[in-house]
Amino acid sequence: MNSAGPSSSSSRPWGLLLVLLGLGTLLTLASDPLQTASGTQNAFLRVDNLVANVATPMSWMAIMALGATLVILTGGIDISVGSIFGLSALATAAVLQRFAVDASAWLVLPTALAVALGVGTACGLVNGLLVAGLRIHPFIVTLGTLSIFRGIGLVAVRDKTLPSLGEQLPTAFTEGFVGARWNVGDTFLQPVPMIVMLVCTVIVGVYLARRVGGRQLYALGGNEEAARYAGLPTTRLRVRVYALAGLLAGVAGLLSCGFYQSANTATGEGYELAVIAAAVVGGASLQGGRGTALGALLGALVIKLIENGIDILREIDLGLFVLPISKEYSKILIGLAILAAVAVDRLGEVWRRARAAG
Amino acid sequence: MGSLARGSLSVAAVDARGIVKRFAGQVALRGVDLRVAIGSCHGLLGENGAGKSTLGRVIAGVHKPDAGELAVMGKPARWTSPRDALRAGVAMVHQELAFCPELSVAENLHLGRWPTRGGFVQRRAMESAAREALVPVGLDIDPARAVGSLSTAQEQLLQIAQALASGARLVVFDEPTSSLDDAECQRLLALVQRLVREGLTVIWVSHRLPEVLAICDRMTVLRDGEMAGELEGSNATEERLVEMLVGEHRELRAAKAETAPPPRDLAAPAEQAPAFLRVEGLQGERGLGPIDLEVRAGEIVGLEGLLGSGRSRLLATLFGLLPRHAGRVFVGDTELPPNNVRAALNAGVALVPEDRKRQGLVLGLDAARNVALGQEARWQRGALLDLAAEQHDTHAALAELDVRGLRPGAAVAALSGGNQQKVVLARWLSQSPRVLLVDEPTRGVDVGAKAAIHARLHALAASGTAILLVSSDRPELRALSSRVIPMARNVT
Repeated sequence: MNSAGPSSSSSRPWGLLLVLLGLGTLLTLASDPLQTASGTQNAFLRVDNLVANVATPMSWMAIMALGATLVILTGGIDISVGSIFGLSALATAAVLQRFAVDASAWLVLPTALAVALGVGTACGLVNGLLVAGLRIHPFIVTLGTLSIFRGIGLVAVRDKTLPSLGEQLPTAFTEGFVGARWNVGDTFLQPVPMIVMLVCTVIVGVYLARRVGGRQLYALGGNEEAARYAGLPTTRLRVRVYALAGLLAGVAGLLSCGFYQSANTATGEGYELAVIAAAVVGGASLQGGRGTALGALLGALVIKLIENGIDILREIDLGLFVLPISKEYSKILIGLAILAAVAVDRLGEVWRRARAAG
Repeated sequence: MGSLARGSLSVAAVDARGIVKRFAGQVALRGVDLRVAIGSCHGLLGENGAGKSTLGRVIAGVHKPDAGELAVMGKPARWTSPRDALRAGVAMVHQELAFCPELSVAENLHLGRWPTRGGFVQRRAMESAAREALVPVGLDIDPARAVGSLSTAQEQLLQIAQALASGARLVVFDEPTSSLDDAECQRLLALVQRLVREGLTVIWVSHRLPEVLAICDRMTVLRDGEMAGELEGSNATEERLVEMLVGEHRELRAAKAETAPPPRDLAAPAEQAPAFLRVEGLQGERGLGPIDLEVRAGEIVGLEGLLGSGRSRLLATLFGLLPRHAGRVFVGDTELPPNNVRAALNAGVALVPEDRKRQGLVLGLDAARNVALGQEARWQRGALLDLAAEQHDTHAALAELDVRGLRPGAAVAALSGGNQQKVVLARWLSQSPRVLLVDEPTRGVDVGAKAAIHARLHALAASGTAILLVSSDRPELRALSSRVIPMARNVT
């Protein structure tokens, strides 16, 4: 990481943008030129690298980070997103493999959407009802459902991978939709996951800023008792954020299934950590009451850029000495990014407290 | 009085010169001098935001001054933590209580220095030492009891006992009576007077003039972070203090006129007015009730009683926040279902809660969003909220209560207590409630804000709202109410 970020969290989006700019500049300068058919290009700053290796693989993570931000905003946590993601991808593959390979898009796409979003929302609803209804701590609830949702996939799909041997998902869903290619010069892009990610960010952003239910989440997370005294439907809001987090994990599962044309019982294992990390790096406060959709997107981008940078670079020349970089470093660097983000958050909190005390 | 006779002339308990303290650009203290004689009780007064608590905290080592010299008992004090101050014999009794609720009285008293033998805590030794430490403050409780089970007043006595046991010779009290009822308050004042007679030096930070006049030998008044004046206890009067507190530029006289009791003709038509709020045989949590009462349109009914008599519980039960076990509640002709805040709101009931920081405000959000809280749907145009209209309306509601010049986006945590209370009030008043339940509307609020809040409540009643008021401030209750109902042990 090049920078610890901004000093105040009210300027958090700007600070994150600065971090991203610095990270991008560093990667551009440090990466080797690459010979391609159309001449010499920077290995990092290339449209197809940025889309294929950054934007596309970050799509599922960013979409789930939007859901995680909603939950964290209310002071909750959802560590079952990886399992919901995996289960909805599996369910989508299981249903779609029954269709003919050349089945009509009008038949295939609505089915895929209904299955993936339905499974995701149902899982999220279970989380929400357990958290709000039984007043169990969300960490415990989702720790339990993390295991259960994963287990359902293991029991239902004995083959481990779908589509089963000899089957294939309808092309109207895979190459025709999620994996659709746009030819750009001598290469091609697959922009659909990225576009869906951006659309989801805008929708969640508008929901948080301009819809009653979204804005009330800040109050619920900031001070639940005051929210109750003000007459907010706190239980309903709480159930809703977990359902929405599940819905978004379903969207992510749909994209992953279509893009990779398959799903596995291990799909999404361990994703919850990257997702929560993206939300936190993006400014969501685990104490509740703070977080934005744009932050979730940028947080996911920071994490993906670090991973991509490590893929591209072999060493960073720091002038005095040459820092060797290999894939093994990515975990450490991402960890440092999370800690830096939280430290900045903490400093902002101390600063606000001191201000309030005056 | 007689501090000169007892205290040494050369050495002061506190000698502060030119103390400056800033918080993130806001100046809380702009070069304050303070001299406190040994063995005296020194009052520190000021409106909210005047800097009195900050000065108290600087002396107790909670805050580090940005500039200025501080000497305690003749020695320069450059403390970086309350621990340093405690080592030099200075302790603080906090407004918000600072114990571990799950631990026992004895464990809390000796926190950080539990007697051990071979790594094991000597519980019995600790408890007998605690029993001894409780004697000077007259607190007769089992030291094995969990602190969480004590009342606020008992916890406060425990803080004093802790200060004395750790050898404090100077104790700073920060708004110690703000959450005590009358009787507890009197006991605390008597205790402090006794301790001062026995040689303790006390700095008493408060905005309650009568108690300061009753116990302080000398008083310093702060205004806007500066010294506004100092008075000897013998020639201090409430009027002179108020003059110093608010300065000459405030419309004090106007404020006073507005706090006067309502004219008779205002209370009179209430006799014939319809009962807006009718409660029949209400029973609630922890033995509340049965309660019958009526509040008519345009009437302010005061509920008078001690802490714990069930007043706040009654209001919360009426509003649907606490479960109602039996009885019926009518607003006009509509009967309210139990435990349903939404239904109460829809029927035109509003509750201004007792504890603005815990129940009233989301401290991290700005004033406008706190005013809008719970009624955001009012600004929905089509699918989205009209944020400009929301800003406009909420700021208008705040301006009506004389809260102006707020920076959009600035958290309400940074506002003074008076302005915070006005933000809570603005939320409920902007909904033009038919029935307003008000719990401690002016607790910890300065004189000017208090007058403004009283004026608004009168105006609201005059426009036909039925108001049910709870206040521990007896003069306030008497002045505001057209009718007072005594409440004791959960019943009226």
